[in-house]
Amino acid sequence: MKRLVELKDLKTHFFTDEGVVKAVDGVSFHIGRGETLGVVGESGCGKSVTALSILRLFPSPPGKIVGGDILFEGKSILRKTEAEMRDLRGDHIAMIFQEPMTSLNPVFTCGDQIAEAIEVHQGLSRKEALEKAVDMLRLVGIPLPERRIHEYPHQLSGGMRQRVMIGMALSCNPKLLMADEPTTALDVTIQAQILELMKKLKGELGMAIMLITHDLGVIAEMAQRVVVMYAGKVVEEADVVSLFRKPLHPYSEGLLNSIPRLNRPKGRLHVIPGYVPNPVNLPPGCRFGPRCAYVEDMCREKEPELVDIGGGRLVSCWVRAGGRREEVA
Amino acid sequence: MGMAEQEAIQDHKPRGDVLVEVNALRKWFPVTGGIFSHRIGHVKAVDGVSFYIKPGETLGLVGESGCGKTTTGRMILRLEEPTEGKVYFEGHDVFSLDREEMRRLRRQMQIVFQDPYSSLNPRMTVGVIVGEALEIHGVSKGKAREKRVQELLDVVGLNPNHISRYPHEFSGGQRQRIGVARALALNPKLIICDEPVSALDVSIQSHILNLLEDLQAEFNLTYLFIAHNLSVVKHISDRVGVMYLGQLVELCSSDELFSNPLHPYTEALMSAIPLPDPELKRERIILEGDVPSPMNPPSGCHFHTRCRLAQTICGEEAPPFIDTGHEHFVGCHLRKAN
Repeated sequence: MKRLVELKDLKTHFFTDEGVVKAVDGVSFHIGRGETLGVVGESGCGKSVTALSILRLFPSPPGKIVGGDILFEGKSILRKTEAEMRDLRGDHIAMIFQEPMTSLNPVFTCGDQIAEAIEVHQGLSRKEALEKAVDMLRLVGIPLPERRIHEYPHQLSGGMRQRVMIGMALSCNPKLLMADEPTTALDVTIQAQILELMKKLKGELGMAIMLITHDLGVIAEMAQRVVVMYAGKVVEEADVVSLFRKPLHPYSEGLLNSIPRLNRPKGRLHVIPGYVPNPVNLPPGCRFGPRCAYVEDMCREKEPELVDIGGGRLVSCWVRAGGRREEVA
Repeated sequence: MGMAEQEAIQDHKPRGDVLVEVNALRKWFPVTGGIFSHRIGHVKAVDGVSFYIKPGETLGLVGESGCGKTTTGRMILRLEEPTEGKVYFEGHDVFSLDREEMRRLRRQMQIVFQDPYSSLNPRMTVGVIVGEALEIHGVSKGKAREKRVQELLDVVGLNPNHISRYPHEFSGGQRQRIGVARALALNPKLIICDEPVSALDVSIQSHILNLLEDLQAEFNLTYLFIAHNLSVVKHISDRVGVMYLGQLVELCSSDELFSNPLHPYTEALMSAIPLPDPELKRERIILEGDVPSPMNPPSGCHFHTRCRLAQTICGEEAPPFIDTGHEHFVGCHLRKAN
């Protein structure tokens, strides 16, 4: 699979009054063409900032990319001018967010908002753009699209709004769709509709998806490959089946064990002790060390690196074979 | 509602063996419009709900947003007055109590809210937040109150020495523990948990779920657990009720509901949950469209507009909510005979 996007040791830090928040601190992974990559992690692990870094859309200042590189189709995004970035955003990379109500403009009709993107990026006339907007709404399964383009966001339900967002995001045939918790604010039956829609459109349009979520169920259903993040770092990367069969990093293992399952007998839930560390004041050594059940002396002293252990699996842990580079080599 | 039905509610004798009994509860919120703000309709948030909760059990209530589960919980606590229907707590008709009697009853029932950020006053210390109920009800004061608050913090797994800290100094999971400690302060019998873990991270959810189960065992608590996440509800509940557009559509033991769902809505709801198993292949029932407006719910069975099994009768007559055996209640014309 050819690499569409590649992150190389990306570091996005935020310089705040309380100190430097290392939101993304040395993240490397890639997304292949037409692939769905899942990014899992809890709030504050840096998954959203990673996505915003790819679009260079994080608030700056205080945010700044202080190291590493992001390649899109082999070319560095960091060296692009602001004008080149505008072409990239929307045209090649689109993004949808968790809360469709706050990402749509309440004073413009849905049609206006989709048409604007099409006009800007594809140079069509207003009339042609509106026709295309109707097509997009039909594609995302909105009934009576000719009428809906004249409606305002507040006239639509949450599921419909998210469909409009997806329609807008896909209107310029992007090569990559980044979806940041796209179904978290939706009810479960509406979530099922949106996930089905994303799968269908991905098949039809052949785009890659970077799906950011904390919901392991959504990941299992949608992703081919998964990146697990913790405190600004990738701790594990694997294909989805291997990860759910046998997670290697103790954090991935703990996460998978701590969710209640419909198809498992009741009993006490597994608990990862403690809390996510303060990003201004990270523990020495492995960032998960203070909460880890398998922690050893080594973990407290030196930070493990993300190591390729073969079979498409990468893990950053001293204990689970990965961290000891010399032994693996 | 017909005369006969109204009389049936009036004549209803509360059951002796249950802690809470809800009988034909309705809450219609008026909707006003026009220049004179006259009434143009009602949002039928809760529209004829009956169930009971036995002492020491956990009853789960699931359903999508707007199905009326939260309003039901609030009416049990009388934070909301019903349009019709009754709630009995230990056999007492809750809505017939006067202020003073209600104040005494409130000690028996407490609530834990969804959002641990907005449900704690940021200007109060933990000691004041947790101790407030003790003060209002004149249970203890001074050193004794402080000791009781520290005891409560310890019970919910917080450091008792943090009594003078403010909510912002705690993480989301810790704040929810403060909410639980506040609910426990007066030794209630019933705690209504309204989406207590849905605002929390995955790894923190399991902390709170385990805590709630431990406390139930220790203090013989009864829970009404309101949530939209079916995996969580199945995990914690003994029995589960499924709500759709202000009505209960199915009610039975948790295991029964998940192994033998009868109502087509329950089936669709369960098949819609993404399961954390990438190798599982299953048939999805995708519901078409959105939930209809509770202001103008469909005639007959409220679900018939989205139901894949719907027949003519479903649009004409409301199905009765009946026991199909083993206390498995379902409101469906097609699935009443088991």
